Amino acid sequence: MSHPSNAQPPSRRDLLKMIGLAAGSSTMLHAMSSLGHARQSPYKGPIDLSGAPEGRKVVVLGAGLAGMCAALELRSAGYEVSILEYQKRAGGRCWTLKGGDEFEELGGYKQKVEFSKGQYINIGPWRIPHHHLALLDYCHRLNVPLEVFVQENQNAYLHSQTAFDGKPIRYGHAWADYVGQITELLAKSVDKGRLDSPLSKEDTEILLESLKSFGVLNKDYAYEASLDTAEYRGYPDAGAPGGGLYNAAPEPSEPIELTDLLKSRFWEKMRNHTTYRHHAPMFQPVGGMEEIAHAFAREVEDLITYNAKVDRIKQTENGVEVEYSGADGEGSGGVETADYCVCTIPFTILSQLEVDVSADMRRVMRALHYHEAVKAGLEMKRRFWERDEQIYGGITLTDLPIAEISYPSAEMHSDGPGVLLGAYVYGPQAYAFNSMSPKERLETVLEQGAKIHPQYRDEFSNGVVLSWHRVPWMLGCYSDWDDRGRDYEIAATMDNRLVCAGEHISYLPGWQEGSLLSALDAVRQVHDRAVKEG
Amino acid sequence: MRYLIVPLLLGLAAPGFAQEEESPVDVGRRDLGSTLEKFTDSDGAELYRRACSGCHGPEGEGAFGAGKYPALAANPRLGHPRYPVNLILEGNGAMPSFADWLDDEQVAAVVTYIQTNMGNDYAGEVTAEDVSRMREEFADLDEG
Repeated sequence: MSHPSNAQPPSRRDLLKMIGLAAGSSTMLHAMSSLGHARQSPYKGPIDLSGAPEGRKVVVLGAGLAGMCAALELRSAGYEVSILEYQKRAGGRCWTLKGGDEFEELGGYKQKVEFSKGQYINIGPWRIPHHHLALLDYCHRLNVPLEVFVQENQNAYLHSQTAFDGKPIRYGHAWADYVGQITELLAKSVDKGRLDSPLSKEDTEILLESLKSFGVLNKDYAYEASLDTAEYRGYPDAGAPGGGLYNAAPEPSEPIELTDLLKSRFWEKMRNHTTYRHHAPMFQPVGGMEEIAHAFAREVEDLITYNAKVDRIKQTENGVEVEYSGADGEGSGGVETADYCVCTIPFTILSQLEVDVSADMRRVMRALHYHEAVKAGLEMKRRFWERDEQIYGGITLTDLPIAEISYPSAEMHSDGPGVLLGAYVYGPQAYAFNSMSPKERLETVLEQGAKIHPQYRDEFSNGVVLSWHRVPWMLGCYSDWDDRGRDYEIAATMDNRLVCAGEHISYLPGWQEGSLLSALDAVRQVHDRAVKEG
Repeated sequence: MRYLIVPLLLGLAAPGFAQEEESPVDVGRRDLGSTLEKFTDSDGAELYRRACSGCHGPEGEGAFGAGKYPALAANPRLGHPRYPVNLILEGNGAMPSFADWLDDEQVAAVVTYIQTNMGNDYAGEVTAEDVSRMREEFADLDEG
């Protein structure tokens, strides 16, 4: 249409534009898939629930992302919806701690967040892959502004307690030198005909050329200190390219020996940032992850009963009855009746409640375990990682129990304070932290972090350390399926009038995308059932 | 035992960060009684404190929120070791499996501790061999 007199057919882009204008964005998504722009997501645009019977009621348990997404879509389809939430806030694990917040863990530990104005830590999910299309679409629809989350940073560190005298090594140095030297070994063995290779002579020549280029090898296939390798790994402190006369000419930098890199085991961490779920660019909401929860809550807040501890879920042939009481021991409880129930209560808790479900569902609820995790937010008076060490965002990885230090992607290069993710502990060490008082945890996190950044000693201002197993409404961090198989189908399938949703009912455990895709599938099951029942 | 120095160290630390010169131990290298893959203590009390007490409470008092971590103190279900051994190895609901993180000796040690402390006074005679046998048995049940 835009080229009526042009003999050339419209470009693919023109076609998409026409389809998009005529039929709306979900049709455009379908069209893009069929035109070869298939996106790696089952999300195909806003869910279409037409033909809902009148007067049907759904009770949603849990006001996390899954619950609020289900409520939003069901209400807009014409259902009467109510939400019961244990906490006095919406959002669940989509949770950002800011100055003035207080939270209490099981066992009575209370922590007060004392961050400066505008500073925060995302203590639950903290990054969004660019292929999490449902989450990105909801951010778009609900006006949640995003900014780039820096995952990989070549200037952040790899750190081992036992390698390089415990001194941190720049990620980019280790990466370039490791790749360079394994490429050198491969190139030399190919060159000498020592590699049992299926390649033709011609391909072998191209391979050698490519190894030389990829590994930055010299004419003898050696990876060495040179201005060429410095282009990739960087320059020595006193030999960076400058201007004018004084100290201007760059000098080569000395690679780290392969034997030291091998023994450091840094290679275990070198694919960390290139896993599909961490491909750049990643995103974060401006102002904290909980902005997403706030955006959903703006839509469905009028449906939520807070401070509601679910005690009993009854199912009959005709409906669902949920008994609840005041979660804080005060406040009135009640009974919520509905035709259907979308239940997002994590299985750690649901498996302990009196719930009318099949024996299979009950078995699966008990069999699914949850990962442990401990996360720390540390406010530093000064952004020393930026000013002293030129680390802007990204993650340092260490074999210390804190496992990682993540530098904030917001407010880079500002003069103000900044909050580091100071620990993300898994496995047995997370239970060791779980058994400590918050003060003891903080102490340990700081002492470990100071091994990498001695500035901690002068710059630390205040911090919090949360153990997810002690979160009263979670009793764990996120689901840990060994082998989904038939059990997963049982968990994900509507059981009489109740359907479960949440990250645990997805192949994306721990990711908000999993919660949303699961919620949309649950909503679809409720709707199909309601339409059938009329 | 090094761990016991910590409260002392905390007493010196304000606000929440000990000065290096005041630290009687190098906390950054302090053994947390665990690695990424294993708990490393062998003593039942130490194992209980590190692996279990965070949820079940230092005195086995349990914890109660939207769900609960059951009290182990004065718990009649702990009379036979098979019950705690099963939960430790297989998990149940909010209780994860510790099978990969504790060896047979460690499971026996922590079960004996639980059975004979915190208001429990049971035989406490489970051995590593018993645990090993039960480990195989539970694994067979899983497959079957």
